[in-house]
Amino acid sequence: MITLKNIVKAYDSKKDSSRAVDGLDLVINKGEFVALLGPSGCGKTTTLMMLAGLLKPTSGEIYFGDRLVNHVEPKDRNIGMVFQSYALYPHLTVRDNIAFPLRERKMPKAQAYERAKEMGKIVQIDHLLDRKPSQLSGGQQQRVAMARALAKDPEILLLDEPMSNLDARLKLDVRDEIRKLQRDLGVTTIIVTHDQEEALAISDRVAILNNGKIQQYAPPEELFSQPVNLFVASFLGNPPMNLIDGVIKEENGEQKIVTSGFQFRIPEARKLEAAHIDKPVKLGVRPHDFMLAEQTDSNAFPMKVDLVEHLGSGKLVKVIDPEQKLQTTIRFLADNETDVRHGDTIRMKIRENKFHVFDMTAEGLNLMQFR
Amino acid sequence: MNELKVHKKPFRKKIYPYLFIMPFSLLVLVFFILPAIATVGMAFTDLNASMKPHFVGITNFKRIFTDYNLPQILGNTAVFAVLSLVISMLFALIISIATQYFLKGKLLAVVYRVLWLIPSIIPSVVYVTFWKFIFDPTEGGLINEFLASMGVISEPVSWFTKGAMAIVILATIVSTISGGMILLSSAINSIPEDLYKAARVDGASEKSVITKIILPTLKWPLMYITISDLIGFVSSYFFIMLLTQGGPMRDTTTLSLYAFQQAFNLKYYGYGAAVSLIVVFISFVLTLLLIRMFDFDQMIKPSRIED
Amino acid sequence: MSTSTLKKALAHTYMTLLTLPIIAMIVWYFLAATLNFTTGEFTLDNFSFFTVPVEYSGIKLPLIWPIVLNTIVYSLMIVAIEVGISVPTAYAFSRLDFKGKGAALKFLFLMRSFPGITLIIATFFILVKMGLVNTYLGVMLVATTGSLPGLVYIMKGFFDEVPWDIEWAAMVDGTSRFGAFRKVLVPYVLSGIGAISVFAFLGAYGEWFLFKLLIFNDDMLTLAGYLAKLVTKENQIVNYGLITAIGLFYTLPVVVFYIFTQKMFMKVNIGGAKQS
Repeated sequence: MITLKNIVKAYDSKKDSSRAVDGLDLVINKGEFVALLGPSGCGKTTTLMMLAGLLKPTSGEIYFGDRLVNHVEPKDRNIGMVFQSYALYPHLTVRDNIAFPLRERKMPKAQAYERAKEMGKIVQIDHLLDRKPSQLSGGQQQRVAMARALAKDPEILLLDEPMSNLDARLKLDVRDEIRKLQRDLGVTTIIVTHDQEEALAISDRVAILNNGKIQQYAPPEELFSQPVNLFVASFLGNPPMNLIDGVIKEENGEQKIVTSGFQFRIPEARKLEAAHIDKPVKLGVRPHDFMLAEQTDSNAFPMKVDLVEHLGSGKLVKVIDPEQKLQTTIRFLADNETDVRHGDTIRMKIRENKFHVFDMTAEGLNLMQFR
Repeated sequence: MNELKVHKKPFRKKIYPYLFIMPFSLLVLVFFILPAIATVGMAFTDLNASMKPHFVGITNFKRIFTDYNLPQILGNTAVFAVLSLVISMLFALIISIATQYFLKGKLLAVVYRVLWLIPSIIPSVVYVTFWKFIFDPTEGGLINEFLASMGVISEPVSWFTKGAMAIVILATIVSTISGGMILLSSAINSIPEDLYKAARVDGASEKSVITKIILPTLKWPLMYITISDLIGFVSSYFFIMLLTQGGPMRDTTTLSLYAFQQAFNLKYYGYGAAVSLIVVFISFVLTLLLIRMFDFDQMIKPSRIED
Repeated sequence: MSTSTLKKALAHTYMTLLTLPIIAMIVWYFLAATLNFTTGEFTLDNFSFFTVPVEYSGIKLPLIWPIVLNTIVYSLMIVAIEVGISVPTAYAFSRLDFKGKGAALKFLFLMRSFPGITLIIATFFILVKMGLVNTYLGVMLVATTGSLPGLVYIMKGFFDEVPWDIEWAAMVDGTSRFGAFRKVLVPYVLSGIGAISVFAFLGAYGEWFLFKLLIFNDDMLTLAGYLAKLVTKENQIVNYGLITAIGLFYTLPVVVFYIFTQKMFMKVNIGGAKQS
C-alpha cells in the first residue's frame, strides 16, 4: 500500500504560486492499477517523480507500506519505471539493458542474463536481445523498457506516459498487454497520462489532478457519472459536456432551471436543497444525454439546428435556441438514423437522470445528490 | 497551512558537486586569478632583472604615456586588429555563402571548406614558414624568384623590410578565416530551404536573397566573430613573434607583444606588467561585451534530480 | 536551369581561385622538402635529421627521436589531464546544483573568451616562485589552465544534450548519482570525449610558446618548440629544405588525422578565434 499524506512540492519555497503539488492525499492499495490524469502542469508527473524518489517533497509524507520513504534514494525503493522516451541505454544491448538493474543489485552475470532472457520472452522480444536500442522500432523499445522495469520484480511499477509515442493502433494492443501483465504479476502500478481514454480503460481507479490537487479519485465509471465538480465534469468526455448558465427557480413546489434559451424541470427525485433556489448555477449535460422529444413532452424545448457533423458512428448536432438568446451553442449526439438538417427546428429534452448542476463557486461543486 | 519540515541535506551530498569542480577551480585559482592579481600588483613595482621589486606607485603608467614608442605601437595594434578583422570576415562571408548557398550539398563545397580549415589546423610554427618563404628577401624567395624570372626586378626585394605589417596581416587572415567560416556556415545552413524557394517564387534575385535572407540571419554570428576576433588580435602575438618578432625596428610590434618584450627581452617586468594591464583592460571590456550577447539563463539549467 | 548552372560554375571558379593559395602551400611543403633547390632534383637529403642531430647556423639541436618521444608523451599527458578534469567539471556544470553555479558558469565563460596570454608575465613569476620553471609540470599546468575553459564549455554542451530520462532510469534501476555518471552518462557522451581529446591533443601538439618561454633545455623540447627554435632564429638565410622536411614529418600525421575527423570540427569548434 502506498500512502501520500498532504504532499506539497514547491519549486520556490518562498512563493505559494510555484507549488507544483499542493496538499495531495492519495492511498493506493497493493496490486491496484491507478492512473494520475490531468492537463499538463497539473502536478501528475511531479507526483510520480516524488514516488520514484527523483524529486523530494517539500512537505508531507510518502509511505510505502509502513515505511516513510521521503528521503530514501531511488535505488533503495524497489521500483520499476517506464519513461515516455523509454530511456533505454543506447550503448548497451537489449540484453544488457534488461539486466542492468539486476547487475546493479550484484546479481551474477549469468543469472542476470538468464532473467533478462526470461523477461524478453514475457514481452516477446527475446529474438532481439543482441540488438542495440537504436535498431528497434518504437513498439519494441517500449517492450524492452517494460522488461527492464519489471526484471527486478519491483514492488511498485511507475509508468510515465508510456504509450504516448506509439501510434494509435499499437497503443490499443500495448494497453491491453500492460494491463494483462500487471494483473498476472500483481504489481502495484501507477500510470501518469494526459490521455483520458487510456486512463479510464486501463486503471482500477483514476485520480484527476488539477493545480496540484486531486479533484476526484474514483473508479472510471463513477468519475463519468458522478463528477464532483465542474473541472472533472468538463475535463472528461469527448465531445465535452455542455455547460449552460441558468438559475434555479421554484414554482408550485416544482424546481426548474431557467436558462436564457429554455427551461428544464428538475425531476422530483433530483430536487436540490432549498438553499440553492434563486441562485445562479451551471447546468451540465453530456452531448449524448440530449435526445429528440415527442411534441407532447412537457419538459422539452424547441431548438434550431445550426450545424450537423458526421462522426461516422453518429452525428454531432449543434443547436441554438430559436430566439438566439442563449450565449452557448449546445452540442448533442444523435444516431445516424436521426434526420436533422441545418435550419430545422426540433424539440429536445434532457435524459431524466443524466444532468448535473454546478454552483458558481471557484470549485464549481456538483449540487446533485448521488446516493 | 503546511508546516514545512526542512530536511537537512547530508554533508556528503552537499560537497558532492564541489568535488567535481575542485581540480578545475584550483588550476583557475593558481594560474588565472592569482596571475591577474599579480599583474596588477607588479604594474606598480619596478621589478626587473635584479629581482628586487620596490613599490613605485603609478610611475610605470606615467612612463607609458611618455613612452615615445607608444604612438607607433598603438597605431600598429589598431591597423593589425582592424585590417585583419575586416578582411578575414569578408572572406569568411564569401566562402560561407559560396559553399553553403551557391554550392550547397556539393562534394566540392566540403573540399573547399576542409582545405580552408587546414591553415588553422597546421601547427603555427610550420604554417609561418610558408609565408617566410614566399616573402623571403633573398633571390630564393618565391615572389623574388618569380618577379626576377619575369624580368620585373633585377635585385631581390626585401619584402619584410618594406611591408612586414602587410605580411603579418596576410598570414593572420588566412588562418583566421576558417573560424568565422565555421560559424557563418552553420548559421547559413540553418536557414530553411523553403525560405529560398519562397524567395524564388517571388522572383527575388540572388542579390536580394543574399541581402534580405542570408545577411540578416548572420547578424549575431558576425557580431560574435567581430568581438572575439578583436580580442584575439589585440591580445595574441604568436604569428608576429614567429614571423617578424615585431620588427623591422618596431614596425610590427603590437601592444601585447611590446609588453612581452619589455618583460622578457629587456627584463623590465614591472613596466611590462603595466603595459599588459592595458591589453588586459581592452580584452576585458571586449569579453564583457561578448558575454552580454549571450543568454545565460538558457545556459544555466538546474538539476532535475534532487538528492 | 542554365543560369543556375552558370552561377554554380562561377562559384566554383571563384572558390578554386580562392583556395589555390592553400593548395599551393601544401604542394610547396612537399616540393621544398624533397627537391634540391639549386639543381631542381629530387632528394631526400633534407631528411637526414632522422639520423644526424641538426646543426644550423650556430645552434646545435639534439637528435629528433627523443624530441618525438617528448612530443608524444607530453601530448598524451595533456589529453589525459585535460579530459580527466574537463569531463567531471562539465558534468557538474551541466547536471548538478550547487551554490555559486551561476556565477561560476559566468566566470567560466569570461575565462573562455578572455586571453590568458595577457597574464603571462605574472604567470611566469608564479612558476618561478613555485620552482616550476624549466619543468614539464609547469608547462602542463599553464597550458591546461588555458585550454580547460573551452573544453569544459564544449563538454558541457554534450552533457546538456543527455536526456534526463536516461539518468532517471539509471537511478531507478539502482545506481547512485555517481554510478549514473560513470555507467550511463559517460558512455553517452563518448563522442564528446573523443572530440575534446582531439582538441586537447592538437593544442598540446602545436604548443611552442610555453616551451620557448619556460623550457631552457633543448633536449626537453617537443617538436613544436624545436621547430620554433629554427623558425625564429634571426638570420637572413633560412634553410627551407630542412624546416619543411621536419615540418612535414611533424604535420603530416595531424593533417591526415584531421581529414578523417573534419566533420567533428565543423560541428564542435563553435566560437572562439583560434590564434595559436
